Parts: sequence; C-alpha cells; structure tokens
Amino acid sequence: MSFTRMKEKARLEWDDFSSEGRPRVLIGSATCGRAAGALEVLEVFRDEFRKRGMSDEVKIYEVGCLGLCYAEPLVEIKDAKGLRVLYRGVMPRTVPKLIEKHVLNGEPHERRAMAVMGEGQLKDVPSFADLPMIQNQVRIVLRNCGNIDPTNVDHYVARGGYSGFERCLAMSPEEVIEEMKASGLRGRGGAGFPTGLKWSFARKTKSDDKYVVCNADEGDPGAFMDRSVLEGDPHAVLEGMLIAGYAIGANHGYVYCRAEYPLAIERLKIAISQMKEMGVLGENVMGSGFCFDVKIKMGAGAFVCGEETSLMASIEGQRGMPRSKPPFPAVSGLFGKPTNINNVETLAAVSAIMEKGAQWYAGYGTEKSRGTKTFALAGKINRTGLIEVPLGIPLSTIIFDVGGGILHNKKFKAVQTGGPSGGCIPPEHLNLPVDYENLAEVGSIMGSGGMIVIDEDSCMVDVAKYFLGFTEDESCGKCVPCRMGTQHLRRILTDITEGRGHIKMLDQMQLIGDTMKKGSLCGLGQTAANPVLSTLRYFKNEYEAHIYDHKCPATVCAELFLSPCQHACPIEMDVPAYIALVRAGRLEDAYRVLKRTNPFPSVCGRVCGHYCQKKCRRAQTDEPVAIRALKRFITDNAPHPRAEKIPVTRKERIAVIGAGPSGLTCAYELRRRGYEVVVFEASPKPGGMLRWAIPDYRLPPEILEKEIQEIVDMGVEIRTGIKVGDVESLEALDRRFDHIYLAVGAQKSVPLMIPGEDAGGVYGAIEFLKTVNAGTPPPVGRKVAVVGGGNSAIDSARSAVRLGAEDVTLYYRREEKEMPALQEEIDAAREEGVKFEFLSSPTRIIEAGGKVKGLELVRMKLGEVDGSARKRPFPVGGSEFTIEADSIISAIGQEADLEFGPGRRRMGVEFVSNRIKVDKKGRSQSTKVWAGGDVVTGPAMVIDAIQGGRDAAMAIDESIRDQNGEELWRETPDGIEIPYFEAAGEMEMVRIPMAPAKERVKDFREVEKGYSKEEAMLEASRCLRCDFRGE
Amino acid sequence: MTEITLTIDGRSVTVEKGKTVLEAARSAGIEIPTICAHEDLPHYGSCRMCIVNIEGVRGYPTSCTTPAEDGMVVRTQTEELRSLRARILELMLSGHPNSCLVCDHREDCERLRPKPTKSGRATRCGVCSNRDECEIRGMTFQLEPEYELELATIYKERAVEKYDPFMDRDYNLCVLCGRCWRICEKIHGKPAIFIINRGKNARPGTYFNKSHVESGCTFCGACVDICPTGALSDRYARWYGFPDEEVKSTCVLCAEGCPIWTQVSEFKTVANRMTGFNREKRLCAMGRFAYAQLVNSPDRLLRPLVRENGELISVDWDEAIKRAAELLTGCRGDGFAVIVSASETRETRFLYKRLAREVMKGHMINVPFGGCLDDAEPRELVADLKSGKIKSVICAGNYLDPETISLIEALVVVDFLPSPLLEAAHVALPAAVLSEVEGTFKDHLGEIKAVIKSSVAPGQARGGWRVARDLARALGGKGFDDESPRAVTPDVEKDRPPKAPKVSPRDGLDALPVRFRGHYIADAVCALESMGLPTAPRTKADQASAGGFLVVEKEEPIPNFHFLKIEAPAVASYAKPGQFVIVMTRETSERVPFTLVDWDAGEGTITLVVEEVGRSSREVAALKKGDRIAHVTGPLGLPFPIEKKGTVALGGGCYGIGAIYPIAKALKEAGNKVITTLEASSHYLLYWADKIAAVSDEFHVATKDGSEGRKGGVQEVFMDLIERGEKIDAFVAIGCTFMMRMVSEKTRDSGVPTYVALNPIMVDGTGMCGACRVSIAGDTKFACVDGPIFNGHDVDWDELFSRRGAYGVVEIEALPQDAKIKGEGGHKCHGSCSRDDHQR
Repeated sequence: MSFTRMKEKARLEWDDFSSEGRPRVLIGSATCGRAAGALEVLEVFRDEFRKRGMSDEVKIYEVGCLGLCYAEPLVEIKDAKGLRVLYRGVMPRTVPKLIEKHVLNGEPHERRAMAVMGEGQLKDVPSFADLPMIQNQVRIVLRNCGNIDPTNVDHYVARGGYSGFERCLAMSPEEVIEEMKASGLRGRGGAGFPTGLKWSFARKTKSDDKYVVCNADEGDPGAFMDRSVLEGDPHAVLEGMLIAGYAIGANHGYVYCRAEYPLAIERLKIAISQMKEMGVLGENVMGSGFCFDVKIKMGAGAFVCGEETSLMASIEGQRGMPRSKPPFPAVSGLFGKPTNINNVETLAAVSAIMEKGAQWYAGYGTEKSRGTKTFALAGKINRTGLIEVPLGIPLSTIIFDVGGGILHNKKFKAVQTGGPSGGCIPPEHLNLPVDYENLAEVGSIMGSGGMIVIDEDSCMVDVAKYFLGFTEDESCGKCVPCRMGTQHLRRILTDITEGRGHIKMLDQMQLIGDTMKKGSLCGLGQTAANPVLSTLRYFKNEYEAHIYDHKCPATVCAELFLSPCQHACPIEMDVPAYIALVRAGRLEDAYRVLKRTNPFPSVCGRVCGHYCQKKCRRAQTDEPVAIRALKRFITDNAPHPRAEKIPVTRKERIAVIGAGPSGLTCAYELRRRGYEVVVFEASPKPGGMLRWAIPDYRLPPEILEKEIQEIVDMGVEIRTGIKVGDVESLEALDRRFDHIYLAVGAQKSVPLMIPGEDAGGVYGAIEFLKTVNAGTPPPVGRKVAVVGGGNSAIDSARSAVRLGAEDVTLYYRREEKEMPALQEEIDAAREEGVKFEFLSSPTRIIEAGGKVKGLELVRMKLGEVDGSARKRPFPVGGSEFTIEADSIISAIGQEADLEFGPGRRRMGVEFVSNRIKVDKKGRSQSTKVWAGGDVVTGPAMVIDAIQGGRDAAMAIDESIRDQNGEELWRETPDGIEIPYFEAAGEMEMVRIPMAPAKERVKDFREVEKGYSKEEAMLEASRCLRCDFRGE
Repeated sequence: MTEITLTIDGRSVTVEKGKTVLEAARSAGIEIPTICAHEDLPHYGSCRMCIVNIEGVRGYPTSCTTPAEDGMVVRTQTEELRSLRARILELMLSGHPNSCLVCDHREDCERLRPKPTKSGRATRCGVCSNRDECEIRGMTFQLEPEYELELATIYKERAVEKYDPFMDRDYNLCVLCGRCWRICEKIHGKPAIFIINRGKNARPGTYFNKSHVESGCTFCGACVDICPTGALSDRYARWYGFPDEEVKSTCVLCAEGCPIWTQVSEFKTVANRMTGFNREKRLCAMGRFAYAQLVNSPDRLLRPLVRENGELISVDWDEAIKRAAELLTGCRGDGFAVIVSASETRETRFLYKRLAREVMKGHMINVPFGGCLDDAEPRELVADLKSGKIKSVICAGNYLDPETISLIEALVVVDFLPSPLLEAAHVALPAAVLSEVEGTFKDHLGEIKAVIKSSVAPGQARGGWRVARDLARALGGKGFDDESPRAVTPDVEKDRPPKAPKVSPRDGLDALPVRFRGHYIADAVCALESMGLPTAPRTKADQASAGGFLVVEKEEPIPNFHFLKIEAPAVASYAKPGQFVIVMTRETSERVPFTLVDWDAGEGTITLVVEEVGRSSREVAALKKGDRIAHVTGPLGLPFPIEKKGTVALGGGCYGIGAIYPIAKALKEAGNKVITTLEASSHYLLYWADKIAAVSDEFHVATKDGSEGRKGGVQEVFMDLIERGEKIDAFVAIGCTFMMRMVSEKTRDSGVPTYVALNPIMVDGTGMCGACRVSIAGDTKFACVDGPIFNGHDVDWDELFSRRGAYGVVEIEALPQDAKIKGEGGHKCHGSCSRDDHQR
C-alpha cells in the first residue's frame, strides 16, 4: 500500500467517523476508565441503542484516556447537529437519560456536561480547551488519546499518522538524526539523555543486526503515562520505533511491556498486525529497502527491568539484573548487538516531531529542556489524571491550576516527583520551573513523570519509609550499596516511626544515602535514597519531632500514640478516655480526666481550635466526633470539686508574668508540684486574652472566672494591676524568684500602615474587643469594615453586628479557603449577616474632619506561591475602589507589648521580630528566665498557649530537680478505670445546638448551647476507640 | 595483539587491549580490593569495592568492569575512594555475620578455641565454616574500616541448606558476589544455580527451589571452591580447615583420569579440587567429593588376614605373603587367574600381569572402571571362572559372586574394604588405594598421567604393585626387584588406553561410575545413595523406639539454638541448679550431657537448650514436638551450692545463657544480690533476656560485635563492675570452654572465686568411664560426679582443651552425609557416616 492510498483510505474512514448529522458516542475505556466502570456504561449504551433499534445508526467507539481521570467514566456524545459534549462521571443508570435527552432530542444534559468538544457552544459549559485542567496543557504525546479509536489505524493516519515516517524515508538516516537533535528532545524515561545523540551512537556502530527497544516497563507506583499512550494511541509509539529503526539502521524492534498492562499489549498486537497489513513493517518497507519487524516482550513486573541493561537481560531470558556500562547498549546491547532503547513517551514524541518538524517542537519548553512532558498527577490533589505540559512550567501551575489544588482544602506539604526514587519537594520550591536540571537541583528527579501530591496529613518520615520499602523490595540485590543500603534505610526509618529513633540516625542515613548514590551499580540504587535525602533536607523538623518528642506531627505513625486525637492535642488530653466516661455516665471521673493536663477544660470546651477533631479517625467513615462539644458537656454537667489548697513542699519560688492561659497553666502545673508561684498581671483582672479578646457570646466571663478561681484555690497567688517594668522591675523579680516565666502574650494589634489610620473610628481589633469585653464599647456606626481573615477579625465583625452595625463587611486579601479563622466561626458570622469581600486590600482610609468616612481598597490577584504553599496576593494596578464606612477595625495581626523595663536586656532575654527567643524547652538565653504562649509563638490558639505554659512548667521542674540530682516528678495515678464500648455504626455528628442567628445578634449572650444528655451520649457513642488495643 | 598504555596512580602501565582497569592495575602490582571479581570469571561488578576515579568519567566506575583504554588516567587511592570503599565494606559486612572480625577477643579466640562447630551454621562467636579461607576477612583486615556508619548486622534468618549431598549452604553468610553461579555457568553452560528473589531476599538458589540433585547440579564443587565466604562449604572437608598441602595428581575412578589437586590435612586426603576454574578442568561428584570419603572409609581393611581353622586371623605381611605363596604355588597353569581393576595403576597391573602369566603360567582378567566381573575381559576367561575351570584366584577387588566363590579352591583377596569374598578367602591382604598409591595412569585418549601418593594408607594397607611384587617373589618369580613403582614404570609394556565412557561422569549424575574395585561406591559414601546410585542389598536396622521421654515443646527461637521441654517427672522432681542430664536420642545414639536450664516438678517437665554443633546435637535438634527420646538420665552432677554469699555475678554465653537461669533464680531467692550478664556474638543470638532480668537485681548484655549492650564479653562486664567498686563475692560463668577460660583468667587477679561449668567429653555420667577426667588444682576429678562446677582458677585449661579435641576426626566422620536426612525421623544412614552405627 502506498502512502497516498493509505491516506486516502484513512480520509474516507475519518469522514465517516466525524461526519455531521450522524450521532456517535465515544467512551473513554482505557484502564482508568474501565476501573471507574466504563465497560458497564458501554454495555448499557449498546443495550439502549439496540432496544431502540438504533444500533446501526449510532456508532459507539472505545477511545483512550483524555487524562481527566478524576472525572471518569467520560463519555463524549455527538448529536445529529454535530454538537459534541463531554460528560463526566457517567454511571450506567444515567445512560438512558443521556440518550433520551442528547442523542434523541438534541438537548445536552447540562448538569452532567463537563465540556464542549470541538466547535459549538453551550451555556455554562466551557469548551474543552478552557477546562482548568486543560488550559495550561500542550498535548503532543497525548495528541490522539481519547480522540481516536486506537484500534483503527485509519483514525491515526487521518490525524497525520505515518506522515512523519513518510517524511523520514525521504531523508537520509543522518538527516533524521540531525532533525531529532534539532528538536531538542530528551529521553522521557527520566534520565533526559538527548535522543538524537543517543541515536547517533547506535548509528555509528557497525553491525548486521541492530535493535530498537521501546521501554514500556512503567513501574513507578502512581505513574501511568506509558500505559495511557499505548492504550490510547499505540501507532504513535510504533511509528516512533520505525523512525528510530530507520535512523540507526536497525532491523529489529522490541516493545518491552509489563504483563500487568494487558490492554496495552492487546492494542499493540492489533496495531502491529495493521502495520504489517499496510506494509510499513516487514521486508523492504514501502519499497525503501528498509526492513523492520517488531516483537512484544512481556515483563514480569520487576521495577529494576525499567533499567536498560536489566531490561535487555530480561528480553534475553536472563534474570532482570543490571550490568555495568561500558559497553553501552549502542555498542553491545540486546543479544550483544547495537541497541537503542527509548521510552514510550519519547517515541510518541518522535513521530510527532517527524510529522511537524523539529522547529515546531523546539518552540515549546525551555532552552535546555525542549518540548512537553507528561505527568501523572496523583495523591492529595483535586484533579488526578494524566497531563502534558510544556517543560519550564512552574510546579505550582501544575498543582494548583492544572491539578486544582489540594484535596479537601488541606495544606500542601510536598510533591514527590520521579517515582519511588524521586525526592520530595517542599512548598518553598513550588515556583520552580519544571525541567530536568531544576528538579535535580532541589534533590529530586524527573523520572518518568510521576507526581504525587502530599498534604499536611502525611508524615514525611512515613512517606520516606514507604518509598524505601518499595525500593528495598525491588532492588535486584546484585550490588552491595543498593541491597544493604535500602534495607538499613528502611530499618532506620521504621525505628524512627516507631519511637526508637536516635538523632545520630539522621547522619547515618545521610552517609548511607551518599554511599548508595556514589557506589551503586545502576540508577535504581543511585537514586533509591532520594526520598530519604530530600525529606532530611526539607523536613528535618519532622524527623526531630519523632526522635526527640516521640511525636508524629501529621499523626500518622501509629506506633507513637494510642489515638490520633490525643496525639494531635498539644497537651495530650486523653480524649477517648473522657468520651468513654461520658458514655458510662461517669461525668465526675470524666472531669478529673480533663483536669489531668488542662486547667481550663471549660474554656477549651468552648473556644478550642480542636486539633484533635481534625485528626479524628471517625472522619474517614463519616464525620469526626464533636470532641470539643463533648468536653463542654462534661464541664457543664459534672460537679466541679472544690480545689484543695496544695502545701508548698519545695523551696524554689517561681514568678509568672502574665495571667493569661499560658501563665496560669504554668502556675497551675508548678503549684501541683509543690512550688510557690506568684503571678503578676498588668490588667485589673486575670485571664489575659481569654478575658479581653474573646467576646462573651463565645466565652461567658463567669466560666473563665470559675476556672481561674480553682487555680487560686489551690494556692497560686495572682497579683493584678502590676505591670512589670512599671510597678515591678524584672531585675527585682530576678532577685526574689528562682525562675521567671514570661507569658505576656501578643496584645497589640498590628497597624495597617496606610494613610489615615489615625482617624477617629479606626480601631485595632484587640483594642476594640477589649473595650467591648470591658463593657465600654466605642460607637461603631452603621457601616463597619473589618480588615483581616483571622479569628480576631471574625470576633470583631460579630461583635460589631451585636453593637448594632447594619452593614458589617470583612475584607480579606486572599480567598476564603485561605482564611486562618475557624470554619465554624466564618459560617456563624455569615449567618449573622457579616458580608465578605475577598481579594481586596486596604490602601487608604478616607477621612473627613479626623473621622472615618470610608476606605479605599485595591483588588488583589493571586500570583506565585509563597512558603506556606498559598498563592501570594498582589495588587492589581488601577483596580482601586472605595467604600463607605463609619468605623474600620484592623485585624491583620497582633504582636507582643514588650515594655517591661531595661532589665530585660541585662538578663539576656533575646527578641527576634518582637518575639522572645527560647530553646526547645522554653528557656531563654538566661538560664532562669523562661517564656511561652503568644509572646513566643505569635498569635495562636488558646490550646497552644496552654501547651506553652505546661511544657515550661515541666521543663522548669525538670531543670530544678536535675540540678539537685533528684528523681523526676511523677503524678500519682488517679486510678480511673476506663470502660470500653463498641462504636456505633455509620452516623453523622450530632449538631451542636446554637441560638438562632436572628436572636443571637441582639446581645452578647452565649451563642452555642451545650449538648443535652441524650445528645452527648449519642455523640459519644460515635468514638471508634482507636486507643483500645484489646485485652 | 594491540597494546595500550594508561596511567594508574601516576604510573604508566602497558597492557593488552581488552584488559580491564583492574587487570591492568594488578599487572602493575597495584592492589585494588574486590570480592566479586575473580580472574577466572567474567566481569560482574556487584561488590563495588574496586571503584576508582578515571579522568573524564563521571562517578565511580568499577575497575573490574571498565575496559582499560589508551591514555586513561586512573586513580585508585584517593581519600574519597578510601572512605567510600570503607562505607561499602561496612554495608557488606552488615549483611554478613561479622563478630569474627570485630570481636575484641579475636586473637585469643584464634589461639585457644576448639575446632569450629560442625553444624553448618555460624552462630557461635563468629565461628564460621570458612574462617581460614574467608576473603572478606582478608580484605577487611587489609582495609581496616572505620565503621563510621555504625550499622547493626542484619541477620537474614535463613535456614541452612544441609540436605543436599556433600554441600552445606548457609546463605546467611552470602554477600551475593555471584561467583558461584557465574562459575557454574562458565563450566556447565546452563547454570544449576542463579540469583533468585529480589532485594533483601535475593540469594543464590536453584530454579523453583529444587534440590541440587534435581536442579541439574553435577556436584563439581566449583561453587564451593570459588565462594569467598563460608556460605558454601564442603560438608566433609571444611572441618579439617585449610589443607596442610595440595598435591597435583590424577583421579583414577574412571577412564577420564581427570587432573586433581588433592588436599591433604594431617596426612589424610580431605578433598580433591579441580586444577583450574574452567570447563576442561571440571570434576565429577566422585572425583570432587566422594573420593576422600572413599579413601577415609572407616571400614577399611587394615591388616593382612589368613584363615586358620576356618577363621580369618590377623598376621603380619611376611606371614601373609608366605601363606599366600604356599596356597598358590600348586595352582600354576590354566586354572589360575588374577582379577584386576582398571583403576589400578599401570605399574600394578603390569606386575600382576607378569605374576599371572610369567610366574603362575595362568591368566589375567581385567575389570573396567566402575564395572563388575560381567564387564571383565577377556570374556572366555570370565566364562572359565564361572564354570569352575579356573580354580585359584588372586582377586584385587570385590569381583566374585557367591556361586563363583563356591567353585574356587584357592582364593587370595587384595582389597581395601571388606566384602563377601572374605567369607571364602584363604588370605586377605589390605590394599592402599587412590591417593595412597603412586604410579601412572593412561586415560582413554592414551595420555599417560602421574598418580601421586599424597596420603598415608591406614593400618598396614599396601599398594597393589608391592603386593603383586612380593607375591611374585614368594612364588619364585624372577626380576621382581623394583623398590618403587617409579622404577617399574619404564618397563611397563605398551598398554591399550581404556575405553572412553559413553557420557562423561562430569556431565551428569547418571554417568557417574557406580563401583570402585567392585564395591558400590555408595556403600561407602552414603550421600551418593540420595543421588540414585545403587548400593549392595542390606537388611534394614529397626530404629523405632516406642517408649521414651515425650518432647512436649520444641522451638528454635534464635538460629541454631533448640529449646526442648521434655516430660521427665522423676528428673524434674529431683533437679537442682547446676545439674545436668544425659540424653540418648535413640537406642543407638551417643550419650550426650545437657545442662538443665529449667524444670517444673509440678508439671513433670525439664527444659534443655541445645545448640546444634555436630552429629548428636543434630539428632536432638531434629526432634519435633510429640517425638520421644530413648533415654534421659538425671539429674546428674553436684548441684551448685545455693547459699547467701552477698553479691553474686553470673555470666552466661550462648548455650550457657539458659544454664545460668536456675542458678540466678535460686541465688536471688536465697537473698543474694544477683548481677547477671548475657553474652552472644550478636544481637540476634540473645534469648531469655526478660526471664533472666526478672530474677536479677542488675542485668547486662554484652555482644562481641557491639550490636546490643556492651561490646565485648562477660569478662568486660565483670571488669566494669570491679572498676566501679562493686564488691563481688562470687562469680559464675557458663558458656563455651573458651569463654570460661577467658573469664577465669580475667577474674584471677581480683580474687573473686569463679565458678565454671566444665564440659569435657562425657560418656556415662556416673563416674565409671573416666572420659570426663579433669585436673583441678592438680587433683584428678571427674566432671560428672565431682562437678560439673569447679573453681575456674584451679582448672588445668590446656588439658581440658586437648582432651576435648581428642575425637575431632571421629566427630567429623560421624557427621551425616546423607541427603535423605530431612531433619526428622532420625538418622537412616547405613554407610560411613557414623562408626557407632556399625559393628566394629
């Protein structure tokens, strides 16, 4: 068959396929589609058409993968008018309706429509090219995937197939190689060796027999680009092999494909027989004198067989085991003959390059990395799938634009590229333009293009352990560094994740990794340590938390804790225990359990940031247990035994500065240990931010007072109205006390730093809330603008509503999903009528006569990603707009008020950006001065402040006892038996009762109501008791 | 041939093109460390020790795989390479039990310890089957690694493969250098073994885990000989250690006449090995493995015998020759024949021929290799023999069936093993064979090869040439004056080369010669039986024993250490700390003593810890739950005196860990402060830590490789205690003889009385046999009744060591060689595996 006849035949077939006026259905039935149920959908389509007698009229095609794997099964329907609509998530039961509406009546089923393919428009449905996942893509390798019937060679030919080969036959082999060099194509298997150069080596070696091998041994977990191409467009790869064969003078081809890809193998077999039929394969191809045959060799799924020398050994029937180079395959490869090995993706690009020319291809990508690269997006990302983007594209574009960001709006932690031997790239490198050199620079590799997104719920030590477990098993075992190195690394990582870690192990792993990198025989061993080395480089803090604190920050390493809720709690409250006691009706015991580690359970039952709930395992079934509400239920209903005064048993005296949650917790813990403690507080009443910054509708003052009273009752002396620095100098305290704990908080609002801030009616959020809580609120007027996105902003806005403002709007420079405030607070504010303006930032306060009149803001746009993996907003020039406002509350941050006299310098307390610098234990530069709470961490949750106080108390006690050579203090066990109950079956969280929004905006009475006994029992029954390890 | 010149470490080196960088370096005398590279093997590059820097080449290429090129600039000794090699070596060692390298007592141990254990498993203090030839050891001492990685040994917990004939394979020691399968492939084309599995499970093995007999292995032994570690070993030969000498000779078991290096230790042939690692030089299973066991058969005829009043009695050679001559002198003529094997030297056969034809005017019958009388030539003479025409015979082998024997009137047998012929023989003369004789050999290609005498024949056995010469002389023959076979050689007439075997025995087990001098070789080398080689018919000994002591529990919690709980109510009710029992697994087993490590009088059970080290412990180790032990005698020995002494320190090593438990427990109950220390060569060999810690006031662990607790042994912990000022009133140490000796030497200066449980060879355990005699402070004591616990400062250790080694050779010969022993059902071997099994 001549090329002309081939094309003519293809044109007729293609016309038939795409002719207007004839409905047709394309079903994405590659492996990804099939896994989502495409074949069942296909059956239903067939049945439905048969039933309607339309089998001949409507043709159904099985096509490859469009890459939108998250939306499978995907079905494209072209109706009689020629409108092609892509439907997502098509289920067998939706098929009749689709046929009814779209095929029969020509009315697209808009609710299920995902995109309009090709020409045509549909209201509210974007065109395929405008899909956010597609926008940044350039589909060259994937050019036909999902668009043609992969078993129909005419479709391929009609879309330009084999014209590259035709062009190639008109050129000399050397010219073909030059063309390849000019295209800048580099090996897509991962190493990035220039393809043209590789070919020229094999060309140079003289031999009667030469081989072209297509490496389709895709073994990385989470990578599936080769499979997709082979399933969706096998001819693209085979044409690439023909071209390579012609260029190097090879007469044999092998496709080495893993046996786990049956569909790919089936499609390859069909394609090869079609090629033979057309005459592009065999003796004297198209009369050119070129002879070429292709065989398929199935691999048994050993990861190492992706390495070229192992792969050749495997084809030869040997054990898949690498050998040293030289000799290189181009000199002595398969069966000792010169051999050229290219990856599937490379070969699919080759056929496109020969068709469209080197210059066209080189137009994409960067100077050193030309063209496009496919990536398999997997992990905690919204849009998983297969994509193809120009090289040089920033990682953040791939993850946040193409991939749609992180699943469930969690925090991005890292992206793992290059398969099991790649590295983990942290947020600070998210703006990295993706190419071979850049990825290597940051400690990862391109690999075959796996891209696994990791969020805050993953532990990086555990991630490294997972990958090392893989390479440990997949190492061929031949060379010492790889075989032994992977075992040791996996073993050490296991030790660390199970609480047996030692800090010297980090150096050990570094050295082992270095030895493997330098000493291993093949690429597998040389890169196997990457997951460890890169996580050590970027996430050392996680390793250290495991080793020093036996803490897994992501709450993954189950050997380190009993239940994730308790582990996630900064003060390790025994959640399962008190929930079980609620169920047993033993509230008094439950209250005692609360008090074991927390002097403020009633407060925390209301305003805690509940890290515990975020890690609750129940969420994997339905919803997390409402731990905070159950805690509140206990404190509301249990008898609070009167605190006994504890005798002073120790000679050391401790001063605590600041009677906020941190200072009081520290005092409480030290007092329990028998120390005499005096708390100095500048304001007239103790409580700190709990009293002054949290509005009464969230935390009624009497609740707080009760808990402070319990601390006083046990013997803590609180001296209010004493501002250290003014009334009492730090130096004087230093002389009178053995240790000083500074917990002065962060009580000053950060100014907006814009013109007009001095105008009347402009308030800092903290200052504003203080006056509200003191019962002396300022007049807020009718219209209130709140600037900021944290809890203080919400508190201010909701307070303003209660103070009678009619229009309260919150302006935030990022988007809602990035607001630091608790979601339930945002929701409550919205219910109460607070309006939100996102992506806007104040630029100027408009005043008249020293009084606020309005606010000028500028629209923001999201740009590059910052270190917190959030896109950084930047102002859009000329987009300024103004609003009217009677008062403006600035809630963009808080900082410490550090005015306690000149003594602090002499005592060696050091400050870094207005925070006190302390070591891991909370000790400042001075051995007797400790600090914690917001003044150390910056504004944070109550529970973090409590943790600061508790940790410091323990550290102070430990340091004293250590110095005296005494044994550590041990709490007397309270002997509370914890009962065990089976968890209830699937059931949603019992909603926390709230006062109706209309009612609650009228005053500052508490909004949230406690659970009733029945509600509490029901909710408690949802606890899975992850802590329970059997009898 | 093209020559190229490259620079290595600044020196200009010229080599043939095609050589590797490693070969080039070696040719210039530059040593680069390596394990996997071997001059007779193709490139491999797995150990990564031979990495070098080459200008213009990225990374660290291995010199063993990189072809040398003209103008190349190579550096082999940079600081970076040194450090990288040290780390790679450390990684390699972390996968290979290495306490023999890092133990602080290494030098003392090498000087003092007894023979290595025979279990095929290196579990005690790094005692390895290959310590004398371990290349890793050599390389490690040469490189002196710094252990900066501080890696713990990963013990692979692989069962030792000890059920194939001739070889033990302990892949716990394997470093995957790949030499074994590469030599197998090189010699046999299609290798019988290869690397199987992946990653941490990768190891040499056969396809589908078949036995070596089924895998196509021909037992040429090349893998064993080329293995750089103790992973592969010759079960029989290794315990003799590195051979005293190697003698190049010729194997005469078939017409191939393969060249061999005969390895000799203490004048005994212990093995043959091939003279080069290539296909031409390969050996068959007979030549490699069976040969030495055949020569060393414990059944050998040792003395000349003559028949007196119907009985064969032992006489000296002169008398025997005289009697033979008297017998034969009247038998001259056609009625006489000499029957001789083709495996005799040419000289012997020449002299027999002269004796038969010139002196006796009779005939000579030649039996081919591996054959019997039916294969002999000339055929007519064989017929004459069978029909009774030939009535007097000198038969140099086991060639006559009972019918033929009954027709013979005068029979002189010259043989090396007993046979049915002895029933009728008038004179029987012990023959020297194989490596015990000197002479020449003609192979089937007609090449004449030297057979060199390398070992001493047992008893009074003599070479055939001398027997023939002396008989000829005694019968009046003239010209039988040569004093050595060498003197005979020039006179040997032109002889026809023997017929070539149809298939070389080197190419398949089916082609192995089945007989030697008419004896089934498998009768003497029972391992061959499991390869399907025939044996003489024999009656089955009934080994079953219905009664005995029930094994209630049996486990192997750490490698090679077997814990048995045995139902023995009487023993349990009388047992006291420090006592032992004597166990006979079967009625025919050896009696072996084991310390009581625990007992429960209520339950009526006792517990023993048995480390498999040789024949008898292997029998115990092979027991399963529910089996019965023929005899358990005890409690024996004097109990350790339990009294309040104050502070008592106890140390247990290896199998002694269990033994200190009852003593520690009782001492603690008696109100002593008990400080215990467990010692093992590595972390994976520790047991009972919790159990012993629970009866201790203070508890320590010491390992020889430092992988857990203190690096070192019990004595180091003892010195730590002394140093910190602990006042110790008594010290009890139980472990191997070496350990107890070292501990006693250490504690001598401190004056702390040190009690050790001696473990001499013991037979009856009741003071009757005297085998367990020890010298304590100059007095003779019997460990079984006066001990086993004595003050270590009074023990004559040198004597104990030498007495313990007294039966070394017998112990080795007693090791089961039969592949059919599968760890259960007891020992079924009939051959040379054990002297105890045969009536002597």
